[in-house]
Amino acid sequence: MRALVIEDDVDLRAQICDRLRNEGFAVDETGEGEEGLFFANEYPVDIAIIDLGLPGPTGLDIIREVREAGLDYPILILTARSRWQDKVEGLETGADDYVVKPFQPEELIARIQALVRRSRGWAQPKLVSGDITLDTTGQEVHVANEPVELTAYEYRVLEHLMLHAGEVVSKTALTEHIYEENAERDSNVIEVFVRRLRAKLDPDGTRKPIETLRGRGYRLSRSDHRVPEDADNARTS
Amino acid sequence: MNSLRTRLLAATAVILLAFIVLTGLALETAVSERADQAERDRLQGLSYALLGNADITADGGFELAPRVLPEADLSRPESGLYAFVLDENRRTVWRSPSLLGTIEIDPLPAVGEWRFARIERDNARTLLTLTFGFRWVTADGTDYRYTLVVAENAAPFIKQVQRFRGVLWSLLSISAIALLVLELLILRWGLAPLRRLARNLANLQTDEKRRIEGEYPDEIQPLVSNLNRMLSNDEARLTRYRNALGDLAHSLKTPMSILRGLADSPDMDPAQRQPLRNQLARMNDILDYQLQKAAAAGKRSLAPPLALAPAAKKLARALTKVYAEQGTHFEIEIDPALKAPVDEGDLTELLGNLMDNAAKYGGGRVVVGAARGTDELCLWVDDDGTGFGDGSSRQLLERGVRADTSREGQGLGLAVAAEIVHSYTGEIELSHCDNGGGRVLVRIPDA
Repeated sequence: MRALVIEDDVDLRAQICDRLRNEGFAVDETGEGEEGLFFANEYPVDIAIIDLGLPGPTGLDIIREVREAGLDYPILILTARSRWQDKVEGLETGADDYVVKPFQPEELIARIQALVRRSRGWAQPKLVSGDITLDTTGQEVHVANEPVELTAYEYRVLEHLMLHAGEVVSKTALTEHIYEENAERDSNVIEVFVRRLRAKLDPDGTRKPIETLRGRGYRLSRSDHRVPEDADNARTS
Repeated sequence: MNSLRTRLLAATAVILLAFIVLTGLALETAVSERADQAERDRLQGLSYALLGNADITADGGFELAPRVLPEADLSRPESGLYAFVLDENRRTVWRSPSLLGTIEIDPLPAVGEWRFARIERDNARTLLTLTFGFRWVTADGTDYRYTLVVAENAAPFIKQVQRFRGVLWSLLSISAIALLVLELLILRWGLAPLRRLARNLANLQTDEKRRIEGEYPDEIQPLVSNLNRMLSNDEARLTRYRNALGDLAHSLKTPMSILRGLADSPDMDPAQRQPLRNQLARMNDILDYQLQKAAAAGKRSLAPPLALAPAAKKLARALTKVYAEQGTHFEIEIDPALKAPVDEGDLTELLGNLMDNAAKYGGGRVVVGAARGTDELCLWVDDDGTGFGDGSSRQLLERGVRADTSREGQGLGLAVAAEIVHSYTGEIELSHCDNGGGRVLVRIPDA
C-alpha cells in the first residue's frame, strides 16, 4: 500500500510515517503544500493523509484538486480544528474521513486501514480469498487456519493482490504500490516475491492461488466474502 | 401617546382648535359690533328724518305730519318699526301709527344723548331702540323737553347675525377638519421612511441578507448606515474570532498530537504511559470545550433566519462517510421551508455533536427532526440504541463544566451541545424515543 502523508509538522509527520511503515505501508511524505499537490496528483497513491492546516496550498485545496482530477483514492484529513463546520467542509470537499488532533495512533492506523479496505470493496478487516485469510489489523496471514510467516515485502504484495482480488495486477502496479518513490526498484524482484509467496501459501502446488497472466500480470481469485460496489458508494454517497 | 403620529396630531389638533375658537370669537365680535353700528346708524338716520319733519303745535306740542313719515313701515300697525315722542312727564305726545301698545323707556336720556339699547317688549319680543333727548325751543322762547324713541323689531337683525354666526362656525369647523386631514396625510408622508425602516428591520429576521436596503432621508440615513456597519462588523468579528480560536487550536493540538504519539512509543516507560495519556486527554477536553464554548455565537439580535434542513443534510452526508464502516444511516426529517434565526456555525456544532453522539452510541440509525412550536423551535436527534441511563443526563450534559474526565474517547459532544443551547436561552433534555432509543430534545425560544 502506498500512503501519502502531507503534514507540515516534522515530528508529527515522522511519527505517523514510522507507524505506517510498521504497518506495512510504503510511505511518501512531505510537509509542503505545493509538493504535496504534486505527489497527490502524480504518485500511485492508495491512501492520502492530509493535514488541513498546511502553509501554501491548504489541505482543502489539495483535496479539491485531487478530486477534480478524477482521482478517487481515499483521503483522510488530519485537523486540529474540532469544529464540525471545518470537518464538514473537508468531507464535503472530497475527504472520506477525519481524525482530530491529538489522536491515538492506533485509531489513526485503524481508520487508514479501514479506508483502504473499503475503497477496494472489503467490508471486513479480514480479507479472504479461497482458504487464504489476511487480517489487516494484525498483519497476520492464515492458510487453511494455519499461520504463515511472511516478510514485509511479501506481505505487501499479498495484501495488494488480495485487495485487488479478481483483478489483473501488473508487475509495474505492484512495484509502484509496494515501494516508496525514492526506494530502489527492480521489477524482477516482484517475480521473486511472488514465487516465494506461492511457495509459502501453496507448498504442495495444488491450489495455485496466484494466477500468472503472461505479459499482463498476476491475479488472485475473487472470494465470495468480498462485498463489491461498496467502495464507490462509501465515497460518493 | 406612544406614536410620533399621535403626538404630532394631538399637538396640532389642540393648537388648531384654540386658533379657530379665538378667530371665530374675534370675527363674531367684530361683525356683531359692526351690525349694531349699522343698525344704530339707520335708526339715527330715521330719527333725523322724523325730527326734520316735525312741527310745533299751537300749544307748543310736537307734531309730525303722517304723510311725510320717512318709512312706510311706520304707518303700518305692528309692522315692527316704531317711533314715538315723550314729553318730560313721560306722556306720549306723538306716536307712529304702527305702534299700538306702549314701550317702556327708563331712564330717559339726557338732552343731546343718543342711547342705543335692546329692550324686551311686554310680549317678549326684543326691540332695538334708539332714544334721543332734545329740547325744542319755539320762536317765542318757550323751551320744551322731549325724548324721541325709534324702535325696531330685533328678530330679523338677530336672525341675520345668527345666520352669519352659523356660516362662520361651520366654515371654520370644515377648514379645521380639512387641516387635520391634511396634517394626517403630511405625517403619513413625512413618517413613511421611518415605517419603511421598521419594515426593513423586521425583514432582517426573515431575509438572508444582513443589511438594511434602500435610501433614507438625511435625518435617518446616518442611523441606517451605522446599523449596517454594526451588522457587518458583527459578522466579521465573529468570523475573525472563530478563525483566531481555530488557529489557537491548531497551534496547540499539533504538539499535543506529537506528545500523544510519544506516549505510545516503545521507548516510553510503560508506567508513565497511562498518566501521560490521561493528562493529554484532559488537556484536550478542556481545550475543546472552552474553544467550542467561546466560538458559539449564541443569541444575536437581528440574526438572519437559517434554513435548517440543508445544514442538517450536509452533516448527514459528512457523517455517513465517517460512519461508513459501521453503516450508520442518517435520516433528516425537517421541512425544507423551516427556518430559524440561529447562526449556521452554532447549528452545525449543535447538530454535529448530537448526531455524532447518536451514531457513536446508537444502533446504526439516526433520525434528526425539527418543528416549530408555538413560540419555540424544537429540534430532536433520535437513535435506536439503548438510550441514556437513568439519572445520568445531568452528568452527561454538564461534563464539560468540570472537564475532569480521565477517560479517553468519551467525547464532550453532549456538554458542548448543551452549552450552545444555553447560549440561545434554550433547553436540552435527554429522553427516550418511542422505540426505546435515546432522544435528545432541544428547545430554543423565539424571543
